[in-house]
Amino acid sequence: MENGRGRPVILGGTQAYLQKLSDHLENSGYTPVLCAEGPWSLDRLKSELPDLLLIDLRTPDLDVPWLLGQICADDALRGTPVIVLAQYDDLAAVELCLAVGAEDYLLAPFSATLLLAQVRDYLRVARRRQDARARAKQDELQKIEHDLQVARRIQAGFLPTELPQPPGWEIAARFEPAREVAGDFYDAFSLSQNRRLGLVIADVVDKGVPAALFMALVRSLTRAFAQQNYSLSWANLLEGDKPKGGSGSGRGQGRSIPSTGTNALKNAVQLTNNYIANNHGDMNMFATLFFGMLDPANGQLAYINAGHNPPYLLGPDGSVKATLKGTGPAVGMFADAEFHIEFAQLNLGDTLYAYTDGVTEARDPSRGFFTEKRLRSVLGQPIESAAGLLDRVQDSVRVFMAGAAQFDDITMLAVRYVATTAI
Amino acid sequence: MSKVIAVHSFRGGTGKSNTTANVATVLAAEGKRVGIIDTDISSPGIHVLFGLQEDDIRSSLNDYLWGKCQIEDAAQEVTARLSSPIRGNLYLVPSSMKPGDIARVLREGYDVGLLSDGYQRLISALKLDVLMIDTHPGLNEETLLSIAISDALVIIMRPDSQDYQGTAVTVEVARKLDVQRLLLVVNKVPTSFNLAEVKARVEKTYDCEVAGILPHSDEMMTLASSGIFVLRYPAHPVTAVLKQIAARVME
Repeated sequence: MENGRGRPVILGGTQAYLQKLSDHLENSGYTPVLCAEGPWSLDRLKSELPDLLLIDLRTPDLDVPWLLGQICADDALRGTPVIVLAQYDDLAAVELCLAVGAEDYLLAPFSATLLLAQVRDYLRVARRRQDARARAKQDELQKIEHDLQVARRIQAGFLPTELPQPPGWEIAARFEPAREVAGDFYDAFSLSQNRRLGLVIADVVDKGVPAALFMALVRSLTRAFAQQNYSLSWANLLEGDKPKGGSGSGRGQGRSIPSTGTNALKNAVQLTNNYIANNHGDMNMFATLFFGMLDPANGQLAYINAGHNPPYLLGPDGSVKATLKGTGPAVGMFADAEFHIEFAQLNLGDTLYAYTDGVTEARDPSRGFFTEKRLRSVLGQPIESAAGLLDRVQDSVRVFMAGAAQFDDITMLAVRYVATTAI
Repeated sequence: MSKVIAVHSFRGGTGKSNTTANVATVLAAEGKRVGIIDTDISSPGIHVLFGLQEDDIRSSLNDYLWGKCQIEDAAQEVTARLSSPIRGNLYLVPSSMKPGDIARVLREGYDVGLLSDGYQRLISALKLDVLMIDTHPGLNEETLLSIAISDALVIIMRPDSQDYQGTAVTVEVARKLDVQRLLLVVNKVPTSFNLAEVKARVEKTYDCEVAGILPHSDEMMTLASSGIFVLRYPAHPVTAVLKQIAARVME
């Protein structure tokens, strides 16, 4: 309703008095629309966007009470004031119209003064209603916006506020959600009384709110289960998962013998997987997840890679010394899935670089992917620091994207062995 | 090369700790460097045989498990505490006797992986020839782990129906765990029994080597864990059997 005048729409036939009414309104500064012919439909009304409707009861081929019912039931038109134009003989029909939603009526012969008075009043009513509606809509949007901001804050709370920095190590992380909330997460926390450092990076399928809710679940479960001391290997020991005896020292070297932190590693991934597969299997949600258990005293890394993009073990010059490939399926896919523990060794100057596919699948304006090849070439230069490495990747992804929209969450974690520490 | 020997019994009260302490002393007396670790955290006791009081225990296995010290810092040399001097060295990693410490282990559990790493570290830090693990009776995760990584497992039992059944369980588990050497010791055998007959019956029942049959001994009962039997009664027949057991586990 612009300029405070409004747009009354008159529905009716070709009667001369309708044209006269329209002229009156126009002369008084309104911009009326006269719809003098059918067919009458809601869609037609909606396309006219009336601020006020004047409907002639005697419009040919129009069941006015029916139309009023339709207007009341329609989200866009509901609340539009309707004034019925009637002949004195039509009183019964007028009463029916008032009962089903008309605001008021005018009886022939139509007085220009009364008409203008009513139009003025009901346009005011219409404006108040429109304002209230806009406010409600605004409030609703603000509420959604507010909820998203709260969700974002809560999600930020699921990420470590401060990364542990064990002596001799640099740890850095980056987290750029594609939307307000993300399905990615990273985590770093100490375990086994600071003897081990748990390093996690994960990517929940899907994006936005569903993925974020699931991320909260996966992250909480892995953390909680990593702190459980009881072990799943109990049953394995009794069910034929025999330790490797005989070779080497002949004891304690077999991988199924738990060493510090390996129970936590296995518990975290296996129990989380089973919980999700058994309790949320119908959601078809799952997460790729890499969980590394690092011994800060010597750089030994035990890990499970549950279907995640293989992290790289990089030498000081950025050369790839190892890719830590999958040791099990994505978490939440199959109940009772097997997750094997593998081992890697970080030597002084080495860096563990883990990322989610938001990096390699970042797109340029012509929708081309960043690709793993490009990532490896960015990584393949001398590494000055863990944070520096992540900045370097982040910058080149940004340059590549050249302002194109980010489709997926981008998360990275880098852990660099900078100095040996006396224990 | 060093050896890890786990000593276990399915049920309590079989004389597990006493046998462990005596076999360890025999081996140390031969000039070896021997360590004993008391992994019976919920009911520790072997320190008593070496005359250690609660106040004598500075650091314990608990402190290691909680990250307060390294495993070798929890080891205490007990050679000088023995009633007579011996050639070798004897070390003990005791478990805490403090009720709060025991409760904490029961409440929180611990990463059993710390045990296997701790055994290895203890052996190299103290240059041990032998590490003897005094386990918790019954089967739990720590015990399974200790059995799995040991070179020899000694199972102590009494000639008692409950022990007979329980030992069958341990023997079966030990076989599944591929223990390299499995030995049975029958303890507290009434003197009225024919020892050779008991040995034959046990060997047949479990199809397993019996390292020694220890007859009931009033002297052992009287000593009541207040000392090391083999040092107090060097000429006693029970001492001879304990020496024989020590020799067999080292084979």
